[in-house]
Amino acid sequence: MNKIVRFYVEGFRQMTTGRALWALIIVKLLIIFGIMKLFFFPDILSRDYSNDSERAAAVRSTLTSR
Amino acid sequence: MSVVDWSRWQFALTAMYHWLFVPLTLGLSMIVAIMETIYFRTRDRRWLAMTKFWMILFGINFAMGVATGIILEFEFGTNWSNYSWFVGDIFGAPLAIEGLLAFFMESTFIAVMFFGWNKVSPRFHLASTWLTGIGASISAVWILIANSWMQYPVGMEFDPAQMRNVMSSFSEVVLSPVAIHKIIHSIASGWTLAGVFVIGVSCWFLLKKRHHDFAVSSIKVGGWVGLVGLLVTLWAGDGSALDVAKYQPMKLAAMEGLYKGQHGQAITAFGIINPAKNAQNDEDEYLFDISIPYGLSFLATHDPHAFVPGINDLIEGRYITAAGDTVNTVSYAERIALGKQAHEALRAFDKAYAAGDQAAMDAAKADLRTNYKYFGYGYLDSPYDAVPPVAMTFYTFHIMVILGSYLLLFFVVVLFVVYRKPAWLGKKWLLWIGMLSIAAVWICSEAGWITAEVGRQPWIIQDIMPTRAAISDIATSTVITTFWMFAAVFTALLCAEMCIMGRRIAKGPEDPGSTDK
Repeated sequence: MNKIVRFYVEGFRQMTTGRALWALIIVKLLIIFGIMKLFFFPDILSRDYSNDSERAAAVRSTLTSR
Repeated sequence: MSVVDWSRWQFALTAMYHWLFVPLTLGLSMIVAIMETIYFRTRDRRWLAMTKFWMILFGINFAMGVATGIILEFEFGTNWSNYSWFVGDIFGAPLAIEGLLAFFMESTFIAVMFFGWNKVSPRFHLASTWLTGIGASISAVWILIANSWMQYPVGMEFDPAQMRNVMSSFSEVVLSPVAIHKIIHSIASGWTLAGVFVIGVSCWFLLKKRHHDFAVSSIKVGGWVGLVGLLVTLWAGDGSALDVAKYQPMKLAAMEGLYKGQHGQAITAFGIINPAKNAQNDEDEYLFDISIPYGLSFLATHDPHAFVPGINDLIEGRYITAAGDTVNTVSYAERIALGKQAHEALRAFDKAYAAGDQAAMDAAKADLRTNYKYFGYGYLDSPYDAVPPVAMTFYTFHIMVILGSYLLLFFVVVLFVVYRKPAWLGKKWLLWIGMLSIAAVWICSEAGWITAEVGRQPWIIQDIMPTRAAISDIATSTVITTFWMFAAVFTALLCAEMCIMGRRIAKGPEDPGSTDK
């Protein structure tokens, strides 16, 4: 296990272009998960209904009324 | 625009940005693996330098593309919640497998690929490079299976109690002909795209009179991978055309702007659609066109004399046999009526379910099953609602075909020049063509997806669910906000990638040093 951790740590340490890339990836993930998912993209059925039976009933009601 | 239109635009924007990165990942990983294999066999350090250079570009592209696909899944839960619930585990299972494979296979082997030089054995490193590429392709396979199911829904049964389609046959879903052709077509197109990318970048080095040997060797690998990729893409594309003719004939008719079909139907090689033409008038289909006789019949059925129905034939349910007899199949008006009967059966089931009346539930379920294949038509107000946007489907299909044909010529010329006329590699105009072809291959690739996705409208699941039924009850303003947010973030990301990649390309490959031999 130690070997694997050291492998990754040394790998990251020796990166050149990769450091800028990791910075970009972290910023991207923060925007995607920390802002977009949190504030703009709720799972509507999970948020509004407490169990699968209610979710099924809601979808059935919507799909038979459109 | 309605919330459906904004959500569709948002999904299209996200998917198209995502697809900018994916094919290069798929193809470049294979090219890097081939280069490392040559290094492994020859121990020639020039191939090592080449492998490392293209591997870094692969890494930049991979890093930029990673997680852009996650947003599509967010959109399923927020914008398309009815659809997400309705497709159930059929869509969920392939996506879950893709997530696990992407995480374990790619993240493990990609680390060995980048960090493992001189730390693991050359053989293990080479295996990791291949497995990174294979892992990326396998990830793509599951996404393409999910997409194919939406184009040709098989291997499921609808359960009105769960309100979900339940998978009845995993093999039917995974091995449907639509899935097989789409998987091969899409992955091989990635090889083609990466081949052009490698050639284009190498042409830049030749134009700048830098790293000549490196560039020539890269062009040879890129040329062969690209040519093989393109030939496989063409073969699978031919299979996809047969599938479209069989399972999505309305899409085929839109791809050709064909309203009234015939035996021995010609294909339009180039044309300008008449914007005044629609399924309800008698205007000419094209303002201008150049056609190839019997082409569409051959493309659709491999029989040059076969009947290919047009948009109006399909709406009216008209098919003409080889003997010239007109056969009426199920017209779209009849499909709408049968779809509405299916809706009525679902309402009856809902009432029986609420009342706990098992006999009534069984009866409603049987009624629903009878007409379920037309369920989606019940949402349409008119048969003409089932016609996709013809102009966009027509133009994107023809852009794909024209650029695909150009790329075939491009690869043949590139390989001819690099092997037989290497002196021509000093000609500036040829090198500029090589570089500009990078834009052409990306346009070709995106055009293919637009054809596939716009051409199947109005359906989100072919015949079963139109986009208008799939949408969640959300405010249009929310979708508009996130649309522009995505546009800004993704454009910034794309600019960042192009800057980082441009800087790395300008730096060029490392000095190969001496050979191991």
